[in-house]
Amino acid sequence: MTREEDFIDQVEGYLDEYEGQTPLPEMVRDAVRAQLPTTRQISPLPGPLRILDMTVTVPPAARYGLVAAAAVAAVIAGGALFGGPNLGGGPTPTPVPIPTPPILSGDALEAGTYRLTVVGVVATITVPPGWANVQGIGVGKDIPDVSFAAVVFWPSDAEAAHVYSDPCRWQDGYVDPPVGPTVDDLITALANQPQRGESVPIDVSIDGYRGKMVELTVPDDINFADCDGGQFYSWEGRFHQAPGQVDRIYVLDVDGRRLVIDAHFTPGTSAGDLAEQQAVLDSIRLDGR
Amino acid sequence: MERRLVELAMRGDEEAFDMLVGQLGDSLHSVARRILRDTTLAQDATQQALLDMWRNLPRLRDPDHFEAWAYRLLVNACHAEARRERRHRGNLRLLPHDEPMVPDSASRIATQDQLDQAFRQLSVEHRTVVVLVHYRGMTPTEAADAMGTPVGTARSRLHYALMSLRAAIDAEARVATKRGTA
Repeated sequence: MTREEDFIDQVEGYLDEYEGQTPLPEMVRDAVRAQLPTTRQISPLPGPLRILDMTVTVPPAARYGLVAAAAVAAVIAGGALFGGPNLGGGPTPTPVPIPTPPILSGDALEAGTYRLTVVGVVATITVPPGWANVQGIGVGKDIPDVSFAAVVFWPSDAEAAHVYSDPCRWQDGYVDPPVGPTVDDLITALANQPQRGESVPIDVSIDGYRGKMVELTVPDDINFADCDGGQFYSWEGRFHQAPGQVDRIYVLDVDGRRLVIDAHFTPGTSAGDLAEQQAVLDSIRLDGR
Repeated sequence: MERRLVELAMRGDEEAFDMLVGQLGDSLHSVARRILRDTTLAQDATQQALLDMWRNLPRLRDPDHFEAWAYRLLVNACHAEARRERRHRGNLRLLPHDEPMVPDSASRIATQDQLDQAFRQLSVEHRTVVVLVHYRGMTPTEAADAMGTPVGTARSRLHYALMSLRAAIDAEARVATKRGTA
């Protein structure tokens, strides 16, 4: 049993046991019975029978939108990664006093700068309007039915280092030999994961801290239901939300700590939102001391 | 769920509907209890969902989808109860903390307590998807249908909810390790 399965077992055990038996109280059933005679049923809809659809499919127009958005994203990413100021070989990390903006918390966020701490690294991040807190470890922009873009700081290096040998058949286990402690070790394991596209790791730096970035994709035609447990996992705890999703995984060495930042977006994310995501990435300031 | 009972209830048969409540009521209430983490709110939500079912049954187009439709109404009722409660008590109200019902080893209880605290801190939407998938055993697609959200949103909520729960377990493990080495 992998640690992921063990964790899921703990969650399901908690849900099963912690509340104990919770049958419908008889008084509720009695109250419903009592109200039926005075609760009028609405009349049936006219017209042919329509079966409720349990599946969610992406309409063709939306899929074309995804392709277009992905193309725009590639242009933006190319500009940011190959022409921007964050190219690898950046300056030696210069300690900069980090101000004390508010801790990232709540749901919706006002535009501004927020602080969070992961793997012993204090980070500040500046978000534009319309972005929300993602569990205190990142920020995201969710447009229901359309797209989701986020920048998330992975909270555990030990989890990220548990890269699955096959993201769809993840119950087969982790890569062997295990991922080593360096930035290169982790980025290489991720880049070699099957079904993740042809991305080659590149040198990057964020706030002067050097590292590598690899772009991982989820296959467009994958059906998550065909994968183990109905999920497609990159590493322990990191499963993905949509076919065609793109994750740009930044792995940095921050004063001796390996920090993983996952900038991801689903198909359909607009060029504007991708530019906002890049701006969020560019705003990151780090302090691992 | 017996199709014949659903068809009778759709035509206004109260006895048939009561039998459906008998078949599905415990499960609906268990889900509501776990989403809302409050006995009174869960009872109110389940009662409201059952009455909504009765009222709207004639418009259910496919009796074979009764159960999925019932969970959708239940989730709506749970979210409505949660919104109502927030308006009454403010956004920062802590959910009441009940004692665990099942005795177990100290470490398991400690882990479940940590999980419980983390679970209560999730938004009602995040709790909903965890309960539907990991308690009811729905697929993310079915959970999305019950919640009325795109499947990507359901998956995203599930992912971040589990991440929070995992962090709670890891924190408990670190505390236990410190206790063991102290």
